[in-house]
This record gives sequence, structure tokens and C-alpha cells, in this order.
Amino acid sequence: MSLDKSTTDSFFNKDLSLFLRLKKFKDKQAFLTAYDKYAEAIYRFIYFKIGQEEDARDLTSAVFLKCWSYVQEGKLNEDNEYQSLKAFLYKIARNLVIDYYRQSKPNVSLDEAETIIDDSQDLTQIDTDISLDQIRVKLMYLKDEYKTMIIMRYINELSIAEISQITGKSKGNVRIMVMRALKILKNLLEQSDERPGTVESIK
Amino acid sequence: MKDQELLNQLNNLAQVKPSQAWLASNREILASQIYSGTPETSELSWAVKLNLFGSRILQPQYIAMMIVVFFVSSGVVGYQSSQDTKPGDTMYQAKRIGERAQLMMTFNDVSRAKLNLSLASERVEELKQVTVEIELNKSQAPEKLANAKESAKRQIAVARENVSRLKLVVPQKSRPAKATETKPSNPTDNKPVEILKPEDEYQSAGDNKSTDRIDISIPDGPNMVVSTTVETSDSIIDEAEAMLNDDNLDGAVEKLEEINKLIN
Repeated sequence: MSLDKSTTDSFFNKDLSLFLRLKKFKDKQAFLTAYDKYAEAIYRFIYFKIGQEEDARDLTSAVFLKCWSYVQEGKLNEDNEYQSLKAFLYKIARNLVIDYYRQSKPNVSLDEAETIIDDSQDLTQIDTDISLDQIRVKLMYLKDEYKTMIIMRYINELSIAEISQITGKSKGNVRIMVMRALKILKNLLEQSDERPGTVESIK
Repeated sequence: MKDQELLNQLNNLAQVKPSQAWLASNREILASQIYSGTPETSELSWAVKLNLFGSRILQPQYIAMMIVVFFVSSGVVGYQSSQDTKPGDTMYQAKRIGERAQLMMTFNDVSRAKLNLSLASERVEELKQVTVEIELNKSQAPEKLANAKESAKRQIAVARENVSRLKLVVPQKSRPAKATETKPSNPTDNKPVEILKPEDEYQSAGDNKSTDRIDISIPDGPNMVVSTTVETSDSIIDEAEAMLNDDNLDGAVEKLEEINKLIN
């Protein structure tokens, strides 16, 4: 039985396959494939967490370098906590973002958050829809773990199981936190609707 | 803002992407770092691929598939290895089950009759083996022999019933020697009965005397023709049965094979 190239490519580019290739064989090609597959999502996660384009780029690079160093050191084999490469990359990204906050201690104020909107205009390809910018700004006000839930669940569209694996929380806990985060974000947005001129005036 | 509207807006934020130029340049930087000092291998070795497939086939659906394949293949192998068994052997039941399955899958009357005749021969052959075994080993239970004989008789009776269902025996005591003619076997239907000249080359197996042959179209096979000698089917089976009773097992097998050959 012979498999055509597209079938084998499809199989070997799946997360489990990439993870095993890295874990068992330190496969460089698998690493680059993983970069192609997850770089955008990791960047997006970091970007919405810290709100800075340049820093998000640097941290994204750092995530993949860190991942490769873990692969080289054989740490993937030591840690059986992760069953997927995606979860492993998000875990590294979360830790780097925490380190980033520790080092720079950014305390995002409303003014800074509003600045982010202007900074991000040239890097995003989305429509400059005011409501999208509003959401982006309001995300910065959320508690870090709620922000993480919103980004992972609704922006990067991870499953509850994946979020549970990345954050180390139970699935039930994740569900509750996601709902709570969504409710708080909604309240924040409704408050801004009631006080026109906060976000809209920036534009 | 409604919940769904908010969710849609959040989904739209997934369109936020770094520039493709940055992604590409960063990829190059990463590649240069990881490949520095080591040769580049873009293709996985077959050993790696096999190892990865090994991990994959441990998933439940593949395990279930392997179990099914195992049972099917072991059934086939078991049936084949049970072919030379005799009553009392471990695999004998597998052989009988296989035979029953074969009978169930045989719908044509002629094929069924032939199969039953073969099975009758097989039972007699088994009886021969049991007889030899008992002669060599006196400690063997005599009821084993009786059971084998009874089994052979039953199978011959079944074969007789199947053969008689074919209505092969059409007594034709005398007939003028003439060229082949075709006439309806029954006024109510138009199925042809072909009567061949006595001098036509036809000899029953184990018998040198020339006999007439009747070809009968059977109901469930428009193109299938059953041939047999006149007044042979029942008499040959009777002979086989008598030989079995007289413990002339070779003769019984010969007779059963003879009638099996006559059905073609």
C-alpha cells in the first residue's frame, strides 16, 4: 500500500506528529513546520496580552527559540504534562508574558490602551471598525486570567480541553472563567456605550 | 451589545496578524539558528516515519481494527488447518462449522447435492481414520467408532435426499438407437430432455458399461444441465450405504465419488 504525498504531508504536519517528531527526534523540519503553523496564533495571543506590537514580535520569536532550546535539552521528554505541541507553545508564551510583565511592569492605563489602537493600525489587517477597537481596548482592562480566557477561547478559538491543558485548570473551571470573562467584557463595553466619547473620541 | 454580536466581534479579532514579511524573516532567523553547525535534513527517514506510525496505530480505532483482522484471519487459518481432522480432534468442530457455513452459502440444488456427496465421502474417510486409530490404540473408546459410523450414515442420507430432489432417475429401459433428439420432459412445460445415442461416449465412473444419458434442465438454472446415468443415483447410493454397513469403506467412498462425478 502506498500513500500519496498529500496524505503523508497532512499526517506528518498534524500537531501530534510534529510534537512526536520534536520530542523523539529533535526534528528541525518539524520545528519549522510548527512555526509556520502556530506563529500567527502565538503572536496574536501575546499581542492581545501585552498590547505592544514590537514586544509581541520579540516575544513570539522568543517563544519559538525557547521551544527549540527545550527540544534540544530533551525537556519535552521529561515533562509528560503536555500531549500537544500547541499547548506546549502556549505554555511558553504565557510564561514569557509573565516574565515580560515582571521586568517592565507595564501598567496599562486607559490612555496607553488607547495608544495601542493607533499603534496597531498598520500591523493588523482588520477593518478599522470602531467596535473592534473598543473590544481591544477593553480587553486590556480585564484581569490577566480573564483576558487569557477570552483570547484563547474566542480569538484564537482553542477548545476548553486545550485551554484546560495550557492553564492547568479543570475544564469546569475554565468554562466558568470563560463565561465570567465574557460577562465582564460585555459590562465594560456597555459602560463605554453609556459614556460616549471615551473610545470614539480617539478616532 | 448582544452576546452573539460580541462573540462575532471577538472572532473578528482573529484577523489580527503579524506582517508576512516579519514572519518570513523571523523564520529565516530561526532556521539559521537551529541549522547552524548541523546538516539540513528536510525529509524524514523511513525509520522516523515508521516510528510515528507506530505511535499512531496505538489509537483505539486502529486497535479495534487489528482485533477484527486478527479474529478473521485466525478463523480462516483455523478452518484451513482443521481440514484433515477427524472426530475427537481439537479442531474437528471448526471443520464441521466450516462445512455448515459452506452449506448455508450454497443455494443451487446441484451444487448442494454435490457438496453433500463430498461431505458424505469425507465422513466415510473420517470413519476410516478412526478405525485405523482404534486398531492402533486399543484404549480408544469404541463409541467413537460408532459415532463416526452414525455420522457417515446420516450424511449419506442427507446426500440421498439432495440427489433425489434433482429427479435425476428417469427409468428408460429401452430406446431405439437414433440420433440425438429433443423432446419436452413434461407436456406442461417445455424443458428439453436430450436423449443421446447409446453409442455416445459415456461411461459411468468405475463402470465400463455404456448407458444412456439424460440431460435435464433444472428449474433454478436455465443454462445448467444435470447429467446422470439412468437408474443409477439411488442404486449407487444404496450400494454405498450397504458397503458402509459391511465396513467396506473404500468401496463406499468410491461409490459416493462416482455419483458425484455423474452430476455435472
